[in-house]
Amino acid sequence: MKVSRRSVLLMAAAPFVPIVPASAQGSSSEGMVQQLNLGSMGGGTNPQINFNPFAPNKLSLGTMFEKLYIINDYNCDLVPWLATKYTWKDPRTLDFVIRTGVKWSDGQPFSAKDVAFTFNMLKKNPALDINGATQLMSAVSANGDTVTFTFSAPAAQAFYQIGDTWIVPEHIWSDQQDPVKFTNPKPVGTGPMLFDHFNSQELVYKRNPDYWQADKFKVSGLRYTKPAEGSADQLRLANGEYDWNAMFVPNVQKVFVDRDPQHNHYWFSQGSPISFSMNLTKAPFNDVKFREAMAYAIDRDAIAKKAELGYVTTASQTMMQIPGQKDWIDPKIADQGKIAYNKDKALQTLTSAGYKQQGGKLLGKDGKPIQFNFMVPAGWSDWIQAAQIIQRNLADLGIKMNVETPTAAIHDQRRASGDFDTLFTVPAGLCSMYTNFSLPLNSAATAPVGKNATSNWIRFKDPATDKLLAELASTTDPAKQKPIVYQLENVMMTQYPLIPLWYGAVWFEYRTEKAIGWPSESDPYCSPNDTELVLMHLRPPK
Amino acid sequence: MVYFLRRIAFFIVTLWAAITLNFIIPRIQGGDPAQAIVQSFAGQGQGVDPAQVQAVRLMLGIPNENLFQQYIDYLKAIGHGQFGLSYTYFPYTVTHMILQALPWTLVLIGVTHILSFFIGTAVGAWAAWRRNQLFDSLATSISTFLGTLPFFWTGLMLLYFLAFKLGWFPDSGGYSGHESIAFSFSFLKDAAYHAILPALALLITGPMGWIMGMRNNMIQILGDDYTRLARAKGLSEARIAMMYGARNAILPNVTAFAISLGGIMGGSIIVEQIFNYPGMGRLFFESIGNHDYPLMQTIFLFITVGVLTANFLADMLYGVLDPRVRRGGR
Amino acid sequence: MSEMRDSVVRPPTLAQAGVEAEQEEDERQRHLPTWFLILWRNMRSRFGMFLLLAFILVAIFAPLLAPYNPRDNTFMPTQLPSTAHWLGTTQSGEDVLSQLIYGARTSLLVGILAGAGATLIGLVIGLIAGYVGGLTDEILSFFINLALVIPALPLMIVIAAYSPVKGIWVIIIVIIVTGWAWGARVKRAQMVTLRERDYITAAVFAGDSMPRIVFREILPNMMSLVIAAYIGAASAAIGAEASLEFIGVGDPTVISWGTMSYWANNSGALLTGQWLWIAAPGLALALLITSLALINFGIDALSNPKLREE
Repeated sequence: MKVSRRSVLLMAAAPFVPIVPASAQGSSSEGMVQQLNLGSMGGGTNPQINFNPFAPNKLSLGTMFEKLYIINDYNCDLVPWLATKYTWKDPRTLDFVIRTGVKWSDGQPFSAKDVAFTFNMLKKNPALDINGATQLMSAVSANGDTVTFTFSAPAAQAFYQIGDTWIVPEHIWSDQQDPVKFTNPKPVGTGPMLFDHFNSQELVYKRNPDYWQADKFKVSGLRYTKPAEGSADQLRLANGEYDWNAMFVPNVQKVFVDRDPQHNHYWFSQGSPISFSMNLTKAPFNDVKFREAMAYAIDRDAIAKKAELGYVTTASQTMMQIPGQKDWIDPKIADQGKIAYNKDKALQTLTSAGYKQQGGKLLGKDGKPIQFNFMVPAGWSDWIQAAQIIQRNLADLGIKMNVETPTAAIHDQRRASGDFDTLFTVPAGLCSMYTNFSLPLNSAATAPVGKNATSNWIRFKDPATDKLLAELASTTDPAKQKPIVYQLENVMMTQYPLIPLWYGAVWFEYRTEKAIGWPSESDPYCSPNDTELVLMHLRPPK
Repeated sequence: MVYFLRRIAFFIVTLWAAITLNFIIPRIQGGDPAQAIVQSFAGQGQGVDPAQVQAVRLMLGIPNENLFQQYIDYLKAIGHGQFGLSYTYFPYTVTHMILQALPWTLVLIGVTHILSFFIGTAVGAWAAWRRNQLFDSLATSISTFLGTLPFFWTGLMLLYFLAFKLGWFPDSGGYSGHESIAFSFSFLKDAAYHAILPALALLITGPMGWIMGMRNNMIQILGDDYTRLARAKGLSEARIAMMYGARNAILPNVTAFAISLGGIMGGSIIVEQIFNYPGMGRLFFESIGNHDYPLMQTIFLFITVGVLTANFLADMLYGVLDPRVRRGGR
Repeated sequence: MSEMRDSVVRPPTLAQAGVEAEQEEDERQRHLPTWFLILWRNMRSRFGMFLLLAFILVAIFAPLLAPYNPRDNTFMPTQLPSTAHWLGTTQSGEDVLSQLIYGARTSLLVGILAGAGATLIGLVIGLIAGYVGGLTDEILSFFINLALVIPALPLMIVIAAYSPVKGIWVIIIVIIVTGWAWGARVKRAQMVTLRERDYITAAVFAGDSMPRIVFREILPNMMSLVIAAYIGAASAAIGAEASLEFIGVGDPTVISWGTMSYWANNSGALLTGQWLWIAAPGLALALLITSLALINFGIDALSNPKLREE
């Protein structure tokens, strides 16, 4: 459920391209950052022109388009962007005040009408609505500088989906008969970058001198290259060809940083918690005591160190990201909800709940040895290694867990239909607290075994949780949301529907040769996924 | 005449069988292309937004009809040469994607396959003529070993030593970003430079089969009665080797050349994968992973039709060259 | 695959006369099968047999030879070769040498089983087509030719990728399903020639049953062909398994030379300078297939006296 499209576009890699001399990039002006190489242009192995911001296979948009709000992925700050202000009139009515003085890159003025047009288009073409922004929306209208959204049900969470949607110009898109098939070859946006040129090996953007906050934006250009896989791309990173990238690198210190310690840096921050997830319709997983024991039985540190190469940190049972979302954690919960590996406590919990250890095997309440399957998509190597660690941990308790590796497609299909015992899921990690808890736990998002569930694959059903979620959806004031979130965290702490294990890493490598001001562990002003915020902070080195 | 009609009938029925096979296999497993594509763009281990999966499902408009109806529609569309829109590269058509990738693979495979054939045949003929001498022993021993090296091994070793360590050649891609695809000297030079390592990976193992094939055929023929007769007539050894040996020994190799096209296609999938080469093999492999059925089916169809056509032409040629075949029906 | 090409160019007409002549010559050495003696006399195939034996011994005694358990991942990850780890360690801290030694088991298993499966199917279909003739022959020949022209590796990748389960057995079945046709074609051709022989015609007239004729009269005369086909199919299978595992459509949790290459390539071995991790499994694979190819030299000589070494 982690919706980090930006990181997606930066994922992976590119082929052999000699570094273009900086002088060729046209920007000699003082105080400017030279063109930066950001790696993968997205769009698959044979990238085609596609600047439709709603398409899954679009090219890296390079900040051509903008959103109403930027939701800081790291600390969840709401940064006004194309909108200056938002107000909930009631949980079904949301107003945005649109920024004035903004121009489209073809010179036409940007207005609230463009915003209303964009959302009406998404409503009419659900195939473009990749955020689900219009799912509850019944109408949207522009009135002067204000855009008003009305919803068919209380929808406090809709702010995050609406605020996070690209806004496109009405005067271009209204001419499109079928916007779903529109590749937008001559993109017009409001952002700080303009499309310069594309071939299947590179995609180049140049600075938009008429950008509405051009005075604060110092990067003269962006260059993306064709994605590649594997070592070739890692080598290019090691050789310093990328100023900014988001790839997994084995032994990053040795392979990347040590090659040029002065300029090469990395910061792997915390993403969504990868969680041990059980099919709650089956025994013994329908027993909360068994689930509690699982929370102590798994050696999260070993997974973080071995399977994830020490790039990640262990996760809080509350599902909140630490440290980014630590303010959302109920202060009454000990250790911020981090549960330490404790084999003895796990065994004790199990025996006191009626499970017996006999001849090295753990017997269920029916007296039969407990054994079950764990499903990991084939080829997801770090997950497979993590599963093997869990396998050994559980074997220590006398539980036999078989690791099976079907293809990703079969895995996803069986996950949806409930045809599994245990597996990893990736819940939460977003700034919308409602979405964090609703996707994995809302009974509306589940289905009986045999039918496809949308996101509550573990089939958790709890009327109290549903009620809390409904309350959260109708609470628009963040201060009042907190106590509800605390209660949801306590559902996690007492019912253990999921066992969060570690936070997936947000890959981020950067070089300080051409630019400084990158977010880092010591200055985590935003997540590297927040491309706009990062670029606004960059300055040439002194 | 019957011979030719039979070959044509076989061509058509085989084509139909390949198309059908192609339709059935991916549908045995099931799986949701929308989910696969969103996950593939998100990267392994990343959570995906169910709203986005739903949007992509709507975008692709994946058919809900029963399998038989889908099959009929599929046959009709192929009959009209309409292969549909790629799922991965929506809204681009499958034909567009294939036409872009095809030249790269055709040139890479064409050049290496023909070179392999000539090098292998020449070395094999020479080895047979100099049978049991040093050259023969060396050629057969070395080629036996080199011929068994897997394509992925030669590819990775070339990549490591010539690109990573020595930096003599580019490590991936088909051309440099600052070039644009055009029929210009600078682009062709750049593309050729990028093709050297993938071509070498195919060329190291490529000729080995031909060496042994040619050598064995030729030894057989040099031992035949009419060659002995020629020798008795006092013709020079070199003349015998060329006139009788090589000329007759090469015929079976020509058919083998057509059949082996399928094999080299397999090699190119692996080599293109290693060198990130913008050809059909890589596109094919990606389409499998993304459950991009329209693209996958069409590439498979292209490969099969290519091999089939080569075989068909070889059969026809054989029928023309060797009248015995027409009667015998191989 | 290159292995396939080797078998493609093998001369389709295989004379049996030589074998019969040898049989008289070796009357004294009845205790050893004739075909073995011919193989033994050929230097190349003798060397090949030793090499193959070495691989078999390594596979059998893997637990004794391997310094560590191949799945033991308690070592320092991504180490370069050292005295403790001759080939270094993997990204998850396993000993590469131990995996290499255990990998021989998988490759041999695949070679033995997939080779046998493909040969058996090829033999049955080839014999039936060649013996029965007529419409049955037409139909079976069509399937043989069909399976021959459909490109094997792309088909294998598609089937392996879309198989609902993963595992070495899936790979073996895929290889059998896609790899039987060449053997069938050769055996059918051989059957057609043998059927015309006088002693077969005599047996038919004498009222012998078909299984009796096939098993007593025909099969013994095709032994060298069957062995050659088996070795060809086994080497093709070993190569195909490694290729499928390498590109990741196999089961990466199996320890085999293909999965070792897959993990090495996907764990940045080229980047960390652990080229031996990549080089070793591929070389072992090539040597194993070479040993089979060398044995095939002797078998070619068995069926084609002109290729025999003096």
